[in-house]
This record gives sequence, C-alpha cells and structure tokens, in this order.
Amino acid sequence: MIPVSWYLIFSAVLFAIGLTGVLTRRNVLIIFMCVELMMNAVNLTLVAFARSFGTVHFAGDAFVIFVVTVAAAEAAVGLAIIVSLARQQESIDADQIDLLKE
Amino acid sequence: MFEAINSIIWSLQSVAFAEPKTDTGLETIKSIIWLIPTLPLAAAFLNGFIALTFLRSKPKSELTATQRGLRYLTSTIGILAIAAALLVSLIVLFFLIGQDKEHKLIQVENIYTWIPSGDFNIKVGFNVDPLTSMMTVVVTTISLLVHIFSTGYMREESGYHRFYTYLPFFTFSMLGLILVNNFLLLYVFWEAVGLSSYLLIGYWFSKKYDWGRLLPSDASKKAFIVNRVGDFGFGLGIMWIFVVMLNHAEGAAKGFDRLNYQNVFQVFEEGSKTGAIDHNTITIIAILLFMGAMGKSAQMPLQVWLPDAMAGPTPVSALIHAATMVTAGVYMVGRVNPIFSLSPEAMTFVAVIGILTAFFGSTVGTTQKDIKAVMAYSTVSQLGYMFFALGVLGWVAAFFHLMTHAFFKGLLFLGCGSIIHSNEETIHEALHKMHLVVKDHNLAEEIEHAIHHDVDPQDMDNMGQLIKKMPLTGWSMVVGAAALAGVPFTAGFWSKDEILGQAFAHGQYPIYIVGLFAALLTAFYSFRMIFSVFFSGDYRLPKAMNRAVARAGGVNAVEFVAQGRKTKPNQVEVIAKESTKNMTFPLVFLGFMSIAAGYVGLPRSIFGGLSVFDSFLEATFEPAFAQVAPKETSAWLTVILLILSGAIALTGVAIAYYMYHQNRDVAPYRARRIAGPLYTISKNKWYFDEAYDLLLVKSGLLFERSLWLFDRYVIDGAVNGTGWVTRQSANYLRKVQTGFVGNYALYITIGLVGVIGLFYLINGI
Repeated sequence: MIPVSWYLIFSAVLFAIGLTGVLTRRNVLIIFMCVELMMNAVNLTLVAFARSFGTVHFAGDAFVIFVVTVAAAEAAVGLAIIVSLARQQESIDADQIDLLKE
Repeated sequence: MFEAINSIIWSLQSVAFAEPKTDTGLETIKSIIWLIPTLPLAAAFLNGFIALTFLRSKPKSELTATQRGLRYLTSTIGILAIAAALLVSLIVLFFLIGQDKEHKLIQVENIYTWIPSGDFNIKVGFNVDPLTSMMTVVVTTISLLVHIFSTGYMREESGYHRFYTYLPFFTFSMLGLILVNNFLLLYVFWEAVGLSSYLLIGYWFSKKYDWGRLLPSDASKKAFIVNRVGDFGFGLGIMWIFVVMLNHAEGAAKGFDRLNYQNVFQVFEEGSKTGAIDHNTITIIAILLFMGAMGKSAQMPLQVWLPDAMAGPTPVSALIHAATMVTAGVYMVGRVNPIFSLSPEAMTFVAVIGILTAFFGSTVGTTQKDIKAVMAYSTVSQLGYMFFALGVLGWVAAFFHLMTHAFFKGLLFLGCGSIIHSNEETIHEALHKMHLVVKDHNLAEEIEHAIHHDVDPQDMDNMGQLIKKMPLTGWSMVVGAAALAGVPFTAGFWSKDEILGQAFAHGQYPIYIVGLFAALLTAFYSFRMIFSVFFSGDYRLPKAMNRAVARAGGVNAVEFVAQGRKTKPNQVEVIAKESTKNMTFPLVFLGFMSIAAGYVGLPRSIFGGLSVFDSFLEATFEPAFAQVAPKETSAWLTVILLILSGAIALTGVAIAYYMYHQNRDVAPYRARRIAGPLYTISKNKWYFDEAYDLLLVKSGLLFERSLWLFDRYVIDGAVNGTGWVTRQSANYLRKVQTGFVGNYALYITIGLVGVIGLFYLINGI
C-alpha cells in the first residue's frame, strides 16, 4: 500500500503549482483555474486521510463530495462574474482591475 | 376661605371674651396660624397671574383703562393680603401674651409629612412662641407700610405689577422662615428670602448707568453669591445636626423628625449634660450655623453685598435690606439659642464678629455721600449691635433692638425713598419745563443728558434745606434719626442702651467701650445726614443742575435753573414737593413707632414690671437662661449708663450740628484733612471690595487661566496627538490597499506561510 505521505507530497506540489499560478498569472480565467487546482489538492489530502485513517466513518469522503458540489456552484458564479467583467471592463487582466479599492 | 374667615372671627371672640387658657382657644389659634404665610403667597400668585396674563411690562402710558385698573388691583391685593396676615399675627400675639409662661409655645405639627424616608423624616409644621410671634408682627407691619408706600414710589414704573408680585412673595418667604418648625424648612425659606432679595435688587435689571454705583443686575448677583458663602456653612451645620441626631436619638420611634427644633434641642441639651455629644462638635455646629447668619445679616467679612443691594428700589431696601430679611440671621441665632448657649466659645465668636461689624459700619457710614449708602452701612452697624448683644448673652436686648431698629430704619429708608422720589420728580419737571424754554433742539438734548448724567438724586451734596419743602418727610426722619442715634427717650435710646447695659452687666467692658464709641459715630452720621439734607445752607439741587449744564458747555453764562419764583424769561423754576399722602402716611406712622416702640422694653432694674417685652420674650430663651442666668445692672448703675449713652448720643448730634449745619462749607473739608488716611480708609469702605477683588477674583482668574492652559496644551494635546498619530500611520498603511486581486492573494499567502511557520516554530518540526 502506498504510504499516505506520498499523497500528501503530491497534493502539496499540486497546491504549490496552483498558488504560483494564482500569484503570477494575470488572466482572471487562469487565476480561476488555478484556484480550482488548489481546491483539488486539498480534496486529495482529504481523500488520502480518509482512506488511511477513516476506516469506520466516511467523513473525509463525504466532505470531498461536498466540496466538489460547492466548487461546481462556485465555478458557475465565478464564470458569470468573469463574463460580466469582460463585458464591462473590456479586459480580464487582473493587473488592470482595481475595483476592490473603491 | 369661608372656614378661614369663620375661624378668625372665632379667635377674635376667644381672645376678647373667652378664657384665654381654654383648649378651644388654643385649637382655634392653631387652626389659623397657617393663614399668616399663606395669604401673602396667595397674593403673590394672584398678582403674578394678573401680571403675566394681562399686563406684561408695557409702560404706564400704553395701558388701556382696564389694564390700569388691573395694575392698581395688584397693589390692592398685596395690601389686603398683608393686612390680613398682620391681623392674624396680632391675634396670635395677643393670645400668647395672655398665656402662662409654660404655655407660651404653640406647636402645630404634622400639617403634612414632606419627606417620609426611613431615618429622614421631615414634617411641615409651625413653631410659634413669643419670639416668632413678635417677629411676625414686626414683619407684617413693616411689609404693610412698605406696600402702601410703594403705591406712591413705584407709581410711574412699568413693572409696577411685577414689583407687587415679588413683594408679597418676599413677605411669604420671610414669614415662613420665622414660623417653620424644623431646620430643613428653615433652610428652604432662608433661600427663598435670598431669591426674593435677588429678584428685588435686580428689579431695574436693564439699568445701564447708576451714577458710579454697582448696577442692579450686578448687585443682585453679588448679593446672591456672597450669601452662598455663608449658606455653605449653614447647610453644613444643618447636615451635622442631622448626623448628631442619627447617632444620639437611636431609640426614636418610626417617623421621628430628626430636624424638628424641639427634638434637636432636647437631644442636644441631654447629650451635652451627659457628655454624649462632644463640646467641640457643638461649638463647630454653632459656628457653621452662624456663618449663614453672617451672610444673610451682612456681618464681617461677608458684609460687602448689603451696601450694593441698595441698587434695588428704596422701599425694597427699607423692607428687605434694613427691617426684616437682614435680621433673619439674628432671628436664627435666637431661635437656635438652646444650641448656641451650650457653647461659650461660639457666643464669644458671635460677639467679636458683631462688635467688629458694628464698629466697621459706623466708621464707614460717617464718610459716605450717597444717602442710601449711609443708611446701608448704618444697617450693617446696627446688625452688628444685635449680634454682639447675642454674643454677650443679652438675648432679649438683641431682639428689642431688632424690633425698634425695624421701625426706625424702615422709617429712615422710606424717608430716603421719599426724598429721592421728590428729587427725581423735581429734575424731571425741570427738564420738562426746560424743553419749553430752550428752543434749540440739540442744546436741549445736551442739557438733558448732562443733568441725567451728573445730578445724582441720591447724593447728599445735592440736598439741603428740604425741611421747608418736605415737612412731613423731614420731621419724621428727624425722629427716625434721633432713634438711630439713641437720643434720649426715643425707641433706639432704650434698645441700644439695653444692649450696652447687657455688655456691661456681663462684664464685657472692651465690647462696651467699642459699642459706645460706635454709638457716638452713629449719632454723628445720622445727624450729618439730617443736617445736610434738611437744614443746612440752601437748596442745592438747582446749583447742581446748573453746574452739570455748565460742565457740559451748554448755556455757560446763564444760570439755567432758578429757585423759587424769581425766574428770568430763559430760566426754569424748580420747586421741591412733598410726597403724596400714601408715602407720607407710613412715614408718620413709623415716626410714631420709633418713639412708642421703646416703651414696651424699659430697663427692668428701674421700671420693674413695666418691661413687658422682657417678660414676654423670656419664655423663648428659657434654655439659654438655664445655662447662664440673665444678668442686669443695678438700678443706680443703669441710670448712670443711661445718662452716659444719652450724653454720647447728644455729643454726636452736637458735632454733626457744628460741622454740617453751622460750617458745612468748611468744617467737613478741614476734618477730612485732619483725618488723612483714616478718611480714605473709611471712604473706601476699608478696601473690602478691593481686597476681595485681588484675593478672590483676580487670583481666581489667574488659577482659572492656568487650568485653561493645562486644558489647552496637556489635555487637548493628548487628544489631538492621538489623532495625529493615527493619521500619519494611516498615510503609510493605506498604500497596502491597492485594489488588485493579486496583491491580496499575495498577502493571504504570506499570512498563511507566517501562520504555518509560527506553528512549526512553536511545536518544533
């Protein structure tokens, strides 16, 4: 059986890639995809732990399913925001948009 | 109301016909006492209602006929109410005279419980004994005469009805002060008379010029504030009495009034006998209470307000600042005699303050030019006499003098009012005629302004020879001044001699000698006033007017005012007139009283039982006499003292006659040169006002300024500094808020790394 640390190392790498993407990329769509990536890295740790330690209860698995559901909803809302952003600002470059300042 | 009238009739019958000692008589008297203060209060409310609803403060000329009627109605209501109160007071007085010595105390208790609160129970009630009764009669009599006098004096005032609202209100407060039966109510009425005094001193609150005197609006505030100083002590004294009562009347029943006079006196007497109440506590309480008396009765060093209180209308000065309110302090010490007499130290304190004030007042009175100022310092001085009489344990003598003083000083002040009123009318008339003679409008204006500004109707330098023009005022004032001076066989002679005799009998020889010297000065200044106003030289008012006009550069060469009927075509004739009958009647009546009042209290060692005043008032001072028995000089010594004080008075009159009748143009100035600095000190009232200005006002302002600087730089500095630091730091920190999503993500990441790093740092890797 593959030890749990392997899963964790893999998810950490995945999370780091996602984080780097969020911090470095300018395109909002790509930032959004990177966020999804980070979320999936977290899901992976949850599943790994559930498999290794949660022999009786399926709390970890249930939680992952819940996260996936919420992520789906969030993706819908997020993409809608990006579409309206693109329409209003005529750009989806994160460095051009400082609406949060106001 | 009907019930009240009925009970008056009943009591009249019971006094006149029925056995005076029956219980029904006592019950009837008890049932009418409440009328004494309530009638003036009702008048005050009624007049206040009329004044506020129908009249406001329109000048007399703008009123309709109905309004004029209402205006006179207010004074009628006032006079009737006071007359009724006087009647009831007289009934009570005669009832008390008819009682045995043991029954000379009527207590009307539990009219209602004002404050029912655990150990703190205050019940409203009356405490009527000979002292109370004598005071109510004096107050209502003087008040009635002043009400009558004011119908003439205030005739042209636009605030006539306002005046007749305040005056009964004052009478109510004063009667309440006299009648109540516990210390808290005494304090309430003590403040109420202070309030009415304030309102009446400031009656002409809009006056902008008063010939160099303190303006009414300022004078009223000064009176109120100086009284606060004394009342601070008075309040503390009452609180201390309450504390003592809490500690020493533990077994008291529920609802026991711990500030009721009789309860307090009983506890103090027993506590002092058994030693349960510390002697020093009693002394301090007595001195604290006396502080209140020092404020209200203008004793040194709190006397400064009284002379300035003369800014009020003269009838007010007569009623409040001479005859009644200022004697409240004397009354209070007499009322609380069971406590005061327990502490010889406190009595010495009272005597020393009294004699100092008597001396102070008489020295200042000799040099003042303002006729009302002379009278004011005379009042200060005579109040000093009353206090040192109390201090040397001449309890009855003090109140005998209080009574005679009320009559003759009331007379002198009303007389001053009559003179001032006449002078004002004369000036007014002269100006009216002047406008007819002087055709040039600007010149006329100039003359009017000069006369209004320069000719002070109260300045004795502008008076002389008035006796021919105002005989009734003049001769009654001569009687009053004789009583004040202590000229033999006037009321003041008997009462002042009784005070001096008491000082002598109790072995207080230094006080006796200073008192005698003050009596000499008193005789001098009172006849200085009489001679310069009524007799010497010529009528000076026209001259004063001419001088004022000349100084203003109006009609230089021409004498613009002439005397008598010798007028040239461009001159104005001036004739002083006697005041109207409603003003002279009170004067004549008081003139009669200024002699007659002395014959109720003739020296007992000579006349024995004839001295009804002594035997009547003794019942009140039983507790004090239980401590120290009353002393009297022997018959022969009394005669010698009488002759001595009579001679002193006549000497004073003779000096005044020489200086102000025979040589008015020379002698006063020569005397001034001889006296040198003494004159300056006296003229400047011993520099009391200046000293207070320096010690309290200026240094107070300095202290205040330093507090202001502290506030400005330290407190404001701290507050503004906080703001400055916040703004400066925000200036840098706000740059963090860029609005770019990437930056925020970076901060979150840094935070995350920080948290995780911290976690490992603490737990180890």
